[in-house]
Amino acid sequence: MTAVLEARGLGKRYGRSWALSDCDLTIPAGRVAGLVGPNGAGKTTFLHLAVGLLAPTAGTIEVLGRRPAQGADQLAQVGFVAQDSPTYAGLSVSDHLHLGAWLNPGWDDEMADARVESLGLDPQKKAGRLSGGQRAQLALTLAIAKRPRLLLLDEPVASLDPLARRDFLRQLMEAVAEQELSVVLSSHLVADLERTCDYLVVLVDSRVQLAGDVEELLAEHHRLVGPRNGGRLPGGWEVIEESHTERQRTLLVRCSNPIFDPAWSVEPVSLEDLVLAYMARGARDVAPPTGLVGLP
Amino acid sequence: MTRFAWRQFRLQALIAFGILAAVVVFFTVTHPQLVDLAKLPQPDALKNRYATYEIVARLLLVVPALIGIFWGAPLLARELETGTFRLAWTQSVTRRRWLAVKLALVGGASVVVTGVLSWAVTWWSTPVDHVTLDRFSALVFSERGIVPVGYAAFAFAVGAALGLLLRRTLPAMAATLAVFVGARLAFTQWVRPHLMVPVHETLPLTSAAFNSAGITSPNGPLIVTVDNGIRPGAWILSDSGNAVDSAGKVVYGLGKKLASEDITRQNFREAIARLGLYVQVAYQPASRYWTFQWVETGIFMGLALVLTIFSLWWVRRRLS
Repeated sequence: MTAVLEARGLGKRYGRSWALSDCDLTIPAGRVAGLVGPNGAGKTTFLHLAVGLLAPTAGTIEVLGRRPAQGADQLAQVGFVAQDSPTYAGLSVSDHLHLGAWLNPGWDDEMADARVESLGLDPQKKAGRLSGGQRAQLALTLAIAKRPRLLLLDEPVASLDPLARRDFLRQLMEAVAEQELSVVLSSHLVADLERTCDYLVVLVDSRVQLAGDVEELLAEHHRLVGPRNGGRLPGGWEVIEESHTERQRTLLVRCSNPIFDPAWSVEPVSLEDLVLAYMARGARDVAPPTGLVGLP
Repeated sequence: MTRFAWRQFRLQALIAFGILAAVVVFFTVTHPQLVDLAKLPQPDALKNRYATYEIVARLLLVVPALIGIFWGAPLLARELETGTFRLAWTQSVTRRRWLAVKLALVGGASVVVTGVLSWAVTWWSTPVDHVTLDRFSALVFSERGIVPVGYAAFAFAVGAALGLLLRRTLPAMAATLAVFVGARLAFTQWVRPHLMVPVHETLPLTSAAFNSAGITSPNGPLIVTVDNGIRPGAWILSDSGNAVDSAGKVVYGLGKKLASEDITRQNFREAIARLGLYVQVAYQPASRYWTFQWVETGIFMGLALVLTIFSLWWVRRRLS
């Protein structure tokens, strides 16, 4: 298993606050990895570090075995769509395709034209007059037609309506299947990732809370419901989330072994529950001074 | 990268070259009039005609500032402001190369446009400059020869660097104007006069040598405001001074002598000239004109180069 992206102790500081800290992360090749976390968690910072728009304050990051943006050939292997899909408002769709062809040695002209046609984009239309969804598609076209090995997308569907969102993700999955791309895409909505990702990274408050294969993560996590005073928990259970009612106790645990304890009823967890549990835990770990929380 | 940079710059370049072509046509059409008028014995008609057209030559004074504001400042500030730099910097071109090509293309165009315009203005104004002999004066000096090219390169580099630092278009434009105008005024006022040690001479006070002359008290010296007619084409650095004798001593008590003569507005200059006085002047000789042009151009070009190197360093090291 080779890694497309490897971060070791990666950190980025702005002034006094760390936008990302102590990040150890390996994303294997051939995956569609979802980077999920609340707004301001450091997702954009992480992606900007990965494409070399930012330089790390601490630690290292290697993308496809090299430092990001180290040279033209490294840049050629990584496609990137920034948040809000920036395009040149005064340039037309076909100008953007020329831009792609001029600036990328591996540019796939046929694919770019075919994509623009299938999307129904008017080549003469200025990018500034496209809808948000069309602009996102244009930006994705630019990123894919340069034929990268790794595609990084920062909140690609955040500004799109549900229909455009579905179209965008479908187009993305088609491209992934055709080109054997590895993808990292960020989102603050789990629903976007559920359909597309097979690898998950949860980032909360500038730290990685969870990273792993989606199926394995789902297999390892369980929701347990048992009696309120159910005694000691067995070893090897990592409790991620815990809640009580008068009689019952509900746990979300991580445990790689099967659970046979008859005192507990075991239910599978959904990806959304899993992510929310880790987000809640991440937020608790860095909770503000106690005087400010828990007020009615 | 060059083609992309050209695509972004194309419209502005066409507008600039369009205006430039119109100005050159205007100069070509009006130049024969100036040549004909220059053949008349009296220069007044020539000067008057030139004065009506001069506004076009004045364009050269503002063109470098316009280049700094409209080509330099937005070049990078707009990309940083609208976020398109994230698109540009993640294509297969390093950002240093991206910046180098943009700076070379638009900076090159700035130099070419200003160079052609300055050459045209210099050629067109020649008949008048031969008469007025004032091409060393602050305004005319900066509208002829090669210095406008240095100003344009400097203004462009200032705009680009400020755009990179401020990351917003409008503040960068305003700051570019302030820095460019400040640098030009400061240079004209405090640096240019000291580029070479001036010549100090005691010259006869002929009727063409002064603008005005007068005494403040009957026994006081004659205070003279020197005209560049005292050394045609030279740059007089000492504006006014006391009239002296041939040995360089200040002459007093001219009041009585002047009062005894029947001085009118018409014969005033001749009366002063008949006194056989001298005046001490410091000046830069006309022969130094091109030295001054080259030195000032070189300094502004050098500043532009330093700013360009700074921008190339900054885009790689600091903007991340």
